Amino acid sequence: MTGWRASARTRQLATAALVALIAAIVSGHGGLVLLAAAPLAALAVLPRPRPLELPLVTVAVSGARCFEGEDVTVIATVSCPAADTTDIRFVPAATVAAAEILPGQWRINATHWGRYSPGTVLVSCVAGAWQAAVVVEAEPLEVFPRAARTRPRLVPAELLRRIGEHTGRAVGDGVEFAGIRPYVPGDQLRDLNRAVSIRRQGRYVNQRAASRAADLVVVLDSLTETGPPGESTLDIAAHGAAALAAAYLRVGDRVGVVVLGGVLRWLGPAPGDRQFYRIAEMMLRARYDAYVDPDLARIPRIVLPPGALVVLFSPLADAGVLAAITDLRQRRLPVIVVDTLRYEPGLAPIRRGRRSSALSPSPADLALRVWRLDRAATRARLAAMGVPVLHWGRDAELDGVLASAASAGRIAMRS
Amino acid sequence: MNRARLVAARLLLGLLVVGLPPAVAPAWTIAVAGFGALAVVAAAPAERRRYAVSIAVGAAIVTCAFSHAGIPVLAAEGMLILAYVLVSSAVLAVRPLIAGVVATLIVAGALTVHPGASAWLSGAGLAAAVAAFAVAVPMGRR
Repeated sequence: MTGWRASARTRQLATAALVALIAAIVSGHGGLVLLAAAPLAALAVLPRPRPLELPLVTVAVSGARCFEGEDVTVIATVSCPAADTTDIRFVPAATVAAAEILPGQWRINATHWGRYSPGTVLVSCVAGAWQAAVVVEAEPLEVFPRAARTRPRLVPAELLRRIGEHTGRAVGDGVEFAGIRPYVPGDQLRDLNRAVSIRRQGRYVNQRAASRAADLVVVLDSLTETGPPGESTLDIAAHGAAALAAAYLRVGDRVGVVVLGGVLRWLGPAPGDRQFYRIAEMMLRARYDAYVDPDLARIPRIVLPPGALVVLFSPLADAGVLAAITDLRQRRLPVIVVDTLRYEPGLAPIRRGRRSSALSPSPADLALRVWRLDRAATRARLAAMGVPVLHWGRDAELDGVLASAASAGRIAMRS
Repeated sequence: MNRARLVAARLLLGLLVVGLPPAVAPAWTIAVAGFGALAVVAAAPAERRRYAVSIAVGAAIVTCAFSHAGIPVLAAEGMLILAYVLVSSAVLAVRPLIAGVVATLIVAGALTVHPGASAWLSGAGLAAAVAAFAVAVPMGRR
């Protein structure tokens, strides 16, 4: 905020008068005083007492939280009784699209997740010969990543002994057909399979698979962030994690989150819609922390319960993440790694199977080849540990990416 | 006044301010006027380019200094400058405009009656102008 000072109009009039007077003196042309007469007279009649109070500006945002793509209204209120004119402008942040709907009101659309101020309100009040400028930054807005529609089809082979929505291997009282067995006293009549009973001259009943719940732990690697804004590895990881968390929480599963990088953060698995917002809030803080080595030994055991499916979103660019994956496997947890790296060094989109046409490659090409070989070795090492690494391309849906993980024995795909 | 009309008024007045003096000035002043016209165009759409208004006005005054303009032309130019500055600040105040007209008429009358015959009179007029400037311009913060 600046105090009252001479307004732009005052300065322009004074400049015009001064230049005209100097021109009159230098050129000896007395008539040029006429050019100064009007601006000086205008200056003389402008109200000259300086206002005592500075403008009071309040900026309110209609909501402190929203999802990507949702509209939020910013309202600026200016109180300056002495002002002749008040000019209010809104300078949106780089990740926000803004449109003025009324004077002092703007509808903004947050296009990028994160916790940031949606913009700055610039107020300029002119009172007579004076002008005051006030700059007010809007309160930070929490923009949650929008969760893409995903089906919770990927579950551990061994489900928990807790009632849920997933079809387990064990026989229970679910709804999915699991087999047929001879009738024993105590079976319900409605389970009787009439067709088989008539054919085999005995009484047979249907068996149903048990409905079990699953635990999912989403791990975000924020140690390395690379890629263009909006499509960086952390952006992709956050969107994937949000999609998975929403999908599994929707069917009553428990979901937890671990953020590798910065300050190691974690949230124990829990069910319910509220857990989604807790996870989203934790992801918002993933980007702004200082670097420390991820040490999964510091995570309480309750965060990584036995049998939980662990999905790790990572560009696999940091050795600390590989150590963390090894630690997870040593705990006998089924782990899936989703590779979030979509751009090779130099920001060129990844093209699989591309061959170098030059017979003598440049050092940059050689470096790129070595880098690719190193990544291939990492993938092979993880595959040897029983950890599938799935590449999430630009045009691929997360559902399709995860579908290819069912080939590993420790993970099952349920319809 | 809506924004389109405001921009149009700025453009019209600004081009008149820089376009009038070259009509009675040497040909090379057209270059100065052209520079002023560029400043007018730059200042028309954006309130933040306040300096461009001063540049345009300065170019017009410099052109006038090298011209053979008579008192009526200079009086009209002074009024145009005042109107242009007022329109550029998005406030078309009536009182400054009336005061400008009155002051221009007084000075024009004085120049017509006494066409610079006395150096003392010129000095007194200049001192009065400087005093008026000192009184009119707000000086710093209290």
